[in-house]
Amino acid sequence: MRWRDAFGFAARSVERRLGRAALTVLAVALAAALLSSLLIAGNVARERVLDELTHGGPLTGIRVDAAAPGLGALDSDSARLGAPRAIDDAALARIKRLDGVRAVSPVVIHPVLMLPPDPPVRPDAKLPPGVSATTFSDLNSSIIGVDLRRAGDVPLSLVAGRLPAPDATTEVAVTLGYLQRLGLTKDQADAVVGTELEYGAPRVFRELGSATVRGRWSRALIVGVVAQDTGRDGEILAPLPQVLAARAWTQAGGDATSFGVGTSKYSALFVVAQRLDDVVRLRQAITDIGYSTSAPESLITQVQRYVHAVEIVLGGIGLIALVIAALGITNALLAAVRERRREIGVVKAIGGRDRDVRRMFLLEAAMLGSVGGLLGAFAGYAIARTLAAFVNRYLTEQGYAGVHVGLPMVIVFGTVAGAALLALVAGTIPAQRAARLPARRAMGDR
Amino acid sequence: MRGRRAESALLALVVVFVGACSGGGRSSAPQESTTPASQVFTAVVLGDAASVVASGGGAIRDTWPQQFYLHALPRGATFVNLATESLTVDAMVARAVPALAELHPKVVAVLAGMTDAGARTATGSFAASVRELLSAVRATGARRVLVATLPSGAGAVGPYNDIIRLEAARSRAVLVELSNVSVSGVRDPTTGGFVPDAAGHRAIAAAFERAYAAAFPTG
Repeated sequence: MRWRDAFGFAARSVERRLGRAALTVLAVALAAALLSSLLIAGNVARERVLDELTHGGPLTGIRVDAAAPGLGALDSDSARLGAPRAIDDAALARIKRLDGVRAVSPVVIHPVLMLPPDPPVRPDAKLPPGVSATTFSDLNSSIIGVDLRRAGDVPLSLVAGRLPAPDATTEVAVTLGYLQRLGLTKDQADAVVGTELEYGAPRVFRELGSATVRGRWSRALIVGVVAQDTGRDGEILAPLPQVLAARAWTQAGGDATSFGVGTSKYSALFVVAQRLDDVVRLRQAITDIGYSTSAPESLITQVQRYVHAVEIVLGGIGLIALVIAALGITNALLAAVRERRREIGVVKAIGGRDRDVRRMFLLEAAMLGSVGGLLGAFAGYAIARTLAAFVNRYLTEQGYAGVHVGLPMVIVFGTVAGAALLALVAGTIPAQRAARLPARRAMGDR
Repeated sequence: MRGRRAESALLALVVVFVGACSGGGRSSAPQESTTPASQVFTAVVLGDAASVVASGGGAIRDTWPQQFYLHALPRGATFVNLATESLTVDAMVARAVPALAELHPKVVAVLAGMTDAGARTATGSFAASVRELLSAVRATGARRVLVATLPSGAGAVGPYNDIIRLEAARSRAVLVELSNVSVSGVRDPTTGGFVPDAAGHRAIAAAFERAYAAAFPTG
């Protein structure tokens, strides 16, 4: 018997007993929905917690400061800075060559004077009643330059709009600190997207014996709002070339230290290790090169353990439901074996072997399991989305950003494959019983 | 026949499922953004007290250079204000031109002579200084040079404005006529020069913007 014929037999059997098959599929679907919704919820919770810990950056991120390591630098997740130490291209290349490094992203933080747009929000922006954005008179600010081609390698998360294009000279994003200065909150971030600000990098000019500070002014469209954790306050996020140009202007004055700008080309580096296990070793190696490092790897490892334990419990609950549903499949197939004895006898009488009969029933079980699993995965996703809507409403009320429920393919395919596999196991006994049924007895029983 | 229908139904379900899964993500990838090369240039302002912060404790954004930059120049332009208080044109040549040479500006806007008018600099000396200043500006490669006459509120500016008009024409600079513009301001008690207030800065900026737009309509 060919696979196609066996599949046809199984499909016909399902069609003939459609009501029972539908109930069996429903049981599997409900169990699969429970399993997948719990796993999706666990997954979202894990991503959210780790995202909060890493501020949108990679889990294996290490921050390298333009400073020598302080005493006990490796004993703490946070930075313990020693004397200032410049990070140049040679140091960057040396760190990049270390074993276990996946990526290195330079960061430049530079002081600027900022002129916020007037008015500070888009004219068509709708702010809640009683909320108004107020401009500020203290123009001192900082601009953060990041290689935005590798935005995923630095602790940034998008709150509204989009990130500036990596080589843009007239686009920036602003940070939550900027919103705060305007008197706006995170959920009003969209109101500043599309406005234009001016920023000026300072430089000391020594003209005929007197020193004058002059700004090199640039204008940029605010294309997005980000949450950032580069370790220092900064209200403007710009592509690296923009900030390097501003820094070069300030340093050309020869008295950049008066603005807090040292001789270092880069303010910091973000190193991404290939695995979490590499982080400790890499921090040691970078410390040996002579730079201070910080990484929340201890905290992340602990949190991951806790979250993993919760995921195991949630998965276990769903799995129990799936096992119960699988027992339903066993029951339905045992009934089918009883009802189809004559059909089994005919198959055997025309030359069908035991394994052909076994295949028919196993295929039927797999069909019930996979269709139930598939429907359940979709239903689980829908349940998770519905729950997320309630959770988001609560989070928004509390002033937090909402959660985003994606459709994790691993969970979906795992649920479908798991349901199909469990159904196969559940169908083994009925299939075995049908296969061992002698042809004469199967026919004679009618 | 029935089996085939069941197969088709299963296949359709899989297709729908895969389609739904593939559309689930969201993208925050930055978009491509390029500023035209013609709009990426440096603009510079040369001037004296009339081109720095407005009298009466004004803000940077209220100065005419900053407003001219904001409203007349494209977003890709960077801007440096090389104006210094109490600077005669003669001193401007010595102090600002070296910095100007380093910046290689495409646009230079000049409002010079307020301090000279207040200090009653000799017109011969003033003419030589203005000529030297504009020659130095042209020598930096600046292609768009705007030179303003002095507003009538700055005192006896007639002879100085005649010189400015003559030298502007000689150096093929765009003349920004401020003599017929109402520019409010006060006289600096230490130098005798004229310092516009916020409204005065707005009036000067508007005159520069009009002249720039008329001379360079492409921006």
